[in-house]
Amino acid sequence: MYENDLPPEGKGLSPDETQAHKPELRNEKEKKVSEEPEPSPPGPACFPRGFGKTVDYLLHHPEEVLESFKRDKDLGRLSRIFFVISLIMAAIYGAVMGATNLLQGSSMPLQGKFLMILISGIKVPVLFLLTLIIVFPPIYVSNAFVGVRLSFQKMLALLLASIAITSTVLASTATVVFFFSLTTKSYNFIKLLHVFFFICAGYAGLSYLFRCIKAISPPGMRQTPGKLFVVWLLLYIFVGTQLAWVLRPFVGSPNEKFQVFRPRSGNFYESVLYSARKVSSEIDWRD
Amino acid sequence: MESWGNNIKIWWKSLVHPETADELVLEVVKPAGFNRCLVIGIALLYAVYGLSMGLFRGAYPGLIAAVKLPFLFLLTQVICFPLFYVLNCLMGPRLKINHCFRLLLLATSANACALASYAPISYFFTLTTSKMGYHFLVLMHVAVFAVAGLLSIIVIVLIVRSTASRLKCRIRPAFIIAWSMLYAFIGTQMAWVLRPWIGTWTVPYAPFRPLEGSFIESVIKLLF
Repeated sequence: MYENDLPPEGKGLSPDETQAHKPELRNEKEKKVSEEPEPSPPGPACFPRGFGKTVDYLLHHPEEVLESFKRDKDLGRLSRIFFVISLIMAAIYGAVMGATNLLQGSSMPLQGKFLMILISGIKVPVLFLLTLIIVFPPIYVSNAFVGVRLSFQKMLALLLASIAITSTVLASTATVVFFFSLTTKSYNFIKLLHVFFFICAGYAGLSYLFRCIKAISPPGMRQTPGKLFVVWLLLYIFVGTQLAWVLRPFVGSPNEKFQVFRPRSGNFYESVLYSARKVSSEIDWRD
Repeated sequence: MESWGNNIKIWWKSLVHPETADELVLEVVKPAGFNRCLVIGIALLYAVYGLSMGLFRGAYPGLIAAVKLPFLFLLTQVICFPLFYVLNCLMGPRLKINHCFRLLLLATSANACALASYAPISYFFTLTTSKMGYHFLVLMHVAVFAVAGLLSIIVIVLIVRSTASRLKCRIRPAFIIAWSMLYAFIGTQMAWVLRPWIGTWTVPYAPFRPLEGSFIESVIKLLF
């Protein structure tokens, strides 16, 4: 991602050969190349107006965002932008999650199905932000003690950025989940699919955080050790799964009546194992 | 009609010389109506092959399969697109959204061309096997799809590499692998949903079958 200063890879053909294939296009290309300005070092981030453009900017200009972090510029505004992106993107995914019962045509009453969409749309952003609040103190303190020295506000902005990336990746899988909800009948299969996408998105977000911290730590100073990242990952998994379990149902089991929260019983890992066993037993082995 | 001929020429050139396709993907050259031409071209190429699949059961199933096969690939592309775009930003060449769309279209068109080139073989075997040849035909189509998929992946990797070298960034193999896994995952489920393609003689023909299970379930069943 940050290898932009590397030399371009050689093309399969020598310039003369390519020239022979595309005489008329090549001239135009040369003209374009000469018009392009020299790439300048990235300045601080300057987010455009409009939600779609903002998300696009976050995805396309990580160097500029890093530069803002390095210069301590506009951190409050950046945090607010990341916060809003996380809220909306997580809500989109939550709504698709809650729509499973509607799409699969389960026996739940229609009103419950629609309420499920609304409730899951609220629950997923709450899940992300509550997890952030819970894991922030230990991450901040452990980083301050053994890692690179970052201010409270900077660390918070960094974590919000990672959540924004997580929820953006998650929201981009919404079409896939929608398609599978529409074309499969198995509640347990969908549940496992959600778990898989949450893992992938969480990994994407945390690796973004790691890269950012590596890139903004000043040279010559104490760096954040790699082992600490593993600890944070475990911390996130530990807290996130328990919180998700407390906030359930997200998808809503088709066999149970509509409910906003379920009574506490069992735990997350038990439930995932149960679903995996169920999916394999639901397969019709007869032929 | 002139622009059509020109578009087809540019399209074919980008597939045969993928190292020069970067100009097309990054819209350095902007042929008018290229995307529309590409979508229609892809649909026609798939329809040619789809007809040969369904023809085993007769003319009507053949027409239905000819309509369904373009949808299989174009719908898969629509479903994959948001995730592909985000992946492209996080671990790939960071293309813009319309460049990304054109790259995917070119990739699908490479597959369509490769598949349609096997259509004569498919017609020949479909029309010359007896009613008992169902299992043979299934195997043949699976093999043709696999070969066409491999051929198109080679072209797509070359196109992506030339685009990335134009943008002066490196392509991680993980990006291509993640993309093809995603495409395969959704494509197989889509193919499962749009069944029947050939149609066994054991059940009466219907354009669609009721949803039951998923492709993944049937693969697990096949493996164990």
